[in-house]
Amino acid sequence: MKDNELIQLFFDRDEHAISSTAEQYGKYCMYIADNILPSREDSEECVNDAYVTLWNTIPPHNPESLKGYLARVVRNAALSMLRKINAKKRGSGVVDEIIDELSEAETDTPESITDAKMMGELINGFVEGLEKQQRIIFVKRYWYLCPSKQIAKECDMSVANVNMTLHRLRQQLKNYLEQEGFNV
Amino acid sequence: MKKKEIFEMTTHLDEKYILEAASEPKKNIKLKKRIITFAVAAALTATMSIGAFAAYKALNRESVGTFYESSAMDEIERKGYVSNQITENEHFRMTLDTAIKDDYNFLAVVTVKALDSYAEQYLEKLSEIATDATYSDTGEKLDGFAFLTGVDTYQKGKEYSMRLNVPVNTVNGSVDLSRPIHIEMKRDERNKTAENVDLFKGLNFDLKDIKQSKSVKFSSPSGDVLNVSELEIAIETDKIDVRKDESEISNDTFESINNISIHYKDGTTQSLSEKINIVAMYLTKDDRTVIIIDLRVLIDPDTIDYIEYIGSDFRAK
Repeated sequence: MKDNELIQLFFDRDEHAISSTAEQYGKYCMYIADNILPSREDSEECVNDAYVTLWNTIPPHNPESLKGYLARVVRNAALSMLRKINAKKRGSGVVDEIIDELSEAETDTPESITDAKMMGELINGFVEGLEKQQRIIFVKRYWYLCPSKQIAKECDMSVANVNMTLHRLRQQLKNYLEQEGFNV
Repeated sequence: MKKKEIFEMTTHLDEKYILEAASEPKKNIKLKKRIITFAVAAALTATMSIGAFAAYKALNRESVGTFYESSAMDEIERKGYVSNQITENEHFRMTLDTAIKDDYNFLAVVTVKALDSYAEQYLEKLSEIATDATYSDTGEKLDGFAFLTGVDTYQKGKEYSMRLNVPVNTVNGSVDLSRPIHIEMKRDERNKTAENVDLFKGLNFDLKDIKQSKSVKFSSPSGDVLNVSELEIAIETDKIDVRKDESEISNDTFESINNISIHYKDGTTQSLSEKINIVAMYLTKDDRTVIIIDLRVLIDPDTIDYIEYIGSDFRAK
């Protein structure tokens, strides 16, 4: 079923909207949630919550891509659930690890930005300038929160190459942020 | 801008990039398969045309090509660094594809194929396999020879390719690679996926007559020495303490470790930054840090005039 047909089911308040979405994108949603949350059960709960969010937000929202919108909803739900989980399990470790990695891209300027639009322009400007393979590795690591081993498997590379590429990307991001001011 | 803000910023990535990264880059995989098919055909042709040379061994390019560029694999075949030793039981087939030594490391590529579900589960959980090593001539145990550990690993389906850089002089002792060595694979204590199955029974390699790579020493004005072999560059230094956690090593230091330029006698210069497979660091018996720069290409150390590395020019001694 195409995205616009699925979206129409939501607009029609058709009860098959969620089951059809789950059939179409269930595996993809679990892929996102599994990288963030510590257990399969948490991931399943998170993905189910995401379907409910979809039901509650479409309409009025009419996303251009249901898959893209759903991906954001699942990621946000997983990160939110993770904050509530009071144990230092795999998931929380991964997020901490990734945030620590990004210290390599920190800039010295004290300014910060809170405007979502500006944040979007900044990060999308950076990834737009990357070669496709680099961009995919960057997004897999910092959006999907995939471990290096998984990225290596999916991108047909060795783990060392992935780690080396990520290190260089963090350096490039730091340079980019500095070039952009970063005195926003 | 702080790291948490940068992480928060990734939340605002455009959907087109999120969707682009959701699927595997299948185009590259197809391209690689085409190249492999071609390479196998080329290898067969080469074998037939020089059939008189019994010592010629064609390389498993699909596995070895993970770590070496095509020109390097041609050189590995030409110089006789191919081993193709196979050991197998009902769970695993392991192939020692290449075997080379230099002054610092035993360098090899090993392909491990899972033949049943127990082996698959094991490899999913762990990328390392425990081994015992002994000198074949005396039976003396070699504690310092950590075969199949500390490797770069690449997975494709049920097959793992592992690139080994086994140090011959570490805190655990020295290894004499001119003597024959027997390697016995054994169950790793961390293997909890198949507790009642001895996955590694009967799996072993015999290392003998390992070919020695050519190597040349280059020194800086301050006395640091770079040992350049065909496959890797090693430097012993006091400037970096390997006992520190990786996160304590500054970005500038990390970056300088990865930047190396070779100036050849014919006047050309080559930056090796994009030709590095992995940079490894370890501590020797006498407490010095060794940095190993493991290359995806083969270089001829005799053709080098000088090397720029960590802010110094290194010239042949």
